[in-house]
Order: sequence, then C-alpha cells, then structure tokens
Amino acid sequence: MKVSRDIVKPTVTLVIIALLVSAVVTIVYNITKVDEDGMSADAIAAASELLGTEELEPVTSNVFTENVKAAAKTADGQYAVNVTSKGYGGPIELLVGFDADGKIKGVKIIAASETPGIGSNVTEGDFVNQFVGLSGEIELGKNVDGVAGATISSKAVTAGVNEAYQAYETIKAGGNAQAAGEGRNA
Amino acid sequence: MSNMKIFLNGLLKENPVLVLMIGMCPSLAITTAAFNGIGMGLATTFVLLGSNVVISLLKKVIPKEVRLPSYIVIIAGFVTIIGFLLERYFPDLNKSLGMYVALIVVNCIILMRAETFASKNSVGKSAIDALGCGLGFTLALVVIGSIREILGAGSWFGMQILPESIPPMTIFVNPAGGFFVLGIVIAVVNLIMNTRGRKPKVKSCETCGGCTACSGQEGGAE
Repeated sequence: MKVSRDIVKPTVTLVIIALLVSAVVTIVYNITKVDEDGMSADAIAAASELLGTEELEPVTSNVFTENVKAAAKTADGQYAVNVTSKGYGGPIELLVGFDADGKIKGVKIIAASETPGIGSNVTEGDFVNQFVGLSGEIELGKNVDGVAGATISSKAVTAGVNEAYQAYETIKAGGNAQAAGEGRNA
Repeated sequence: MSNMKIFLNGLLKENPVLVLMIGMCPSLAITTAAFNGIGMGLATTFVLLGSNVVISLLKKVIPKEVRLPSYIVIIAGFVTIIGFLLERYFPDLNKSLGMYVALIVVNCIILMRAETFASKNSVGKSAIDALGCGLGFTLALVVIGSIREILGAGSWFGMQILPESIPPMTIFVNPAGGFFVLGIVIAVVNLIMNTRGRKPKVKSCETCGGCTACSGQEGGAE
C-alpha cells in the first residue's frame, strides 16, 4: 500500500534514528557526568584562598534554600557558603566567606555569564569588595553601590550574598546543620 | 576523485571559510586566540567526521523525504557528545568557546558535506572528505586566530611574542578586528588562488591556441 511506503516508513526510520541517537547521547552523558556533590573544584579553590586554609569541612543542612549549593567550615570558625543567583545572562555562582565574627570576609564569583563589558563588571573587584566587612541583610544602594548599567546583575549578586548570609545564620543557629562526613577533606 | 584530491579539495581548494565563505559566524566570533581556533576547528572536525561516516553508512536506509531531519538529529547527537566531552575534559576551552559549541549543529559546513558528499559517496571517501574540510576549517581558524592574538594581545598560543614595551592593538581581539583580519586573509588567499589558477591557462593558450577548449575548466570561486 502506498500509505505505508510514503508515510509510515519515513516516520518509523526517523523515530528509530532519533531513539538511537538519544541512547548514544545518554550513554556519553553518564560517562562524562561530573559528580555535583558538594562544592566544585573552582569553589573549593576560591574558599581556600578566601579563608586562608585548605582544611575545609563540608556542612549540610536540610533547611538550606535550594539556591545554596554547598557550605563548608574551617577549624577556626570561619565559613564559606556556595550559592547561585539568577543574573541577567544566566545563573551567577558565588562563594561568600564569613570570618569567625560573622562578618563577610569576601565574595568571589565562581561562574557568571553576564553581558561582557556591562554585567560582567559586577564580577570584578570594585563591586564585590564592597561586601567585605558587612553583616546582616544587605541592601543595594544603601550598603553597597550597584554598577551603572548593570542593575540586574548587581541585584543578583546582592541577593546571592544575602541568601548565603541566611544559610550562614542557619548553620550558626544550630538548626538542622550537621557536619557531613567526619574528617572528609573538601 | 582520488582520496588525496578529496582531502586537498576540502583543505585548500574549497576551504570552507576562505574560499566557500561558509561558517563565517564561528570564524569571526571565537578566533580571538589561536588556541580557541584549534579547539573549535577540531570539535567541528570531530562532528563532521562522525556525521559524514554515519550518514554515509545510512544513505540507503534514510528515506529521501526525511533526510534533512535525520541528518540534523545525527549531527545534533555528535555535537551534544563533543559538548559533554569538552565540558568534562577541557572546561577552560569550553568556557571560551561558549555557545558556539552548541551552534556547530547549525554550522552550514557540516550539513553541506552531509547533503552534497556523504549521502552520495562511500564511507571511506566521506571520512576523508570530512577530515579535509574539518582541517581546512581548523587551518583557517588558526590563521585568523593567530593574527588576531599576536596583533591584539601580543601573544601566540598564550606565549608572549611581542615585547611588553609594545602595547598590543586591542582592536584586533574585538569584533571589528575580526572583520579586518578575515577580509585581509580572504584577499590574500584570493590573490594566491588567482595567480596560481591563471598561469596554466595562459600557457595552454600559447601552446594549443584554442582557448575555447580550455575555458570553463578552472572553475571554483569566481
């Protein structure tokens, strides 16, 4: 029958090709998948630099908001919180370090895809250094100055820092925080 | 066509970027450094090789009506695979190539080779054609990337070439500089092709006297 030759056969062939390609892609995905448990290597490097030690102990909590990717603490009571925030060009991943007094020790942008030359300015020193020494809820325009022309990116970083601060308070308050994997070197 | 001829055809005579003027978008966008050119070129060569071989194998199986969607699905599969591999093993290169890796799917070089070559030729010939075209693309990207990196950043493959006292001309790593360099490289290639292509023509006219017999043999970029 003509219908089977002209309609069924091409359709079935295309479906089979699509299924085979999907299967191959799935296999390769599973082989190359990076284990996303805890902090990425970039985040760990940034945390070590910020807190001045490589002895980081991962901390988890079941009351972390979903944007909090991971947290870690050091032996001398400093903390690092890894969060993502929604920027203008996609997610901004940042790492916020807190010193033993609960003040922000530094903010590092791990990954961002903001517009080069405009939004990308928030990833540079001048903007993120404003957070150093602050604590509590930070408001753009009050505690820190945004980058001209990059309001969304500036807000995103500020929101990320605030979210990290909340996570930090959760951990400090005891909450449901618990050190994960004793002696595990992050 | 002999295998060598197929290979050289893609590499030089019908170089995708410099002669056929296709694949311009990645050629301009990612050639800010020579290493990016190699990365993008080899990623494209991988996809081209994979899709050409598979399409050549399946040329009798794929019905004519759905050949384009089939080609795109196969090409997209290979692009996704190279994307995963870059992300896992070359994260820095992956970052600097950005979305242009995913855009290899719609790179017209690959679809053109699938449609005009792989769907009509044997697996071996298709593989050689893919290598020729892919390496031709890589060659063009590396040449453009090298010129832009040396002039615009004073370095080559990350090594400092020009002394620090000479300030680099940043415009060459900016988009405008990409157009300058691409235009000049194409002009130089055309100059070489024209002078190389004309000589035998003139000679044959002098010896045989019958120009009509020879005309139309030197085709190509005109």
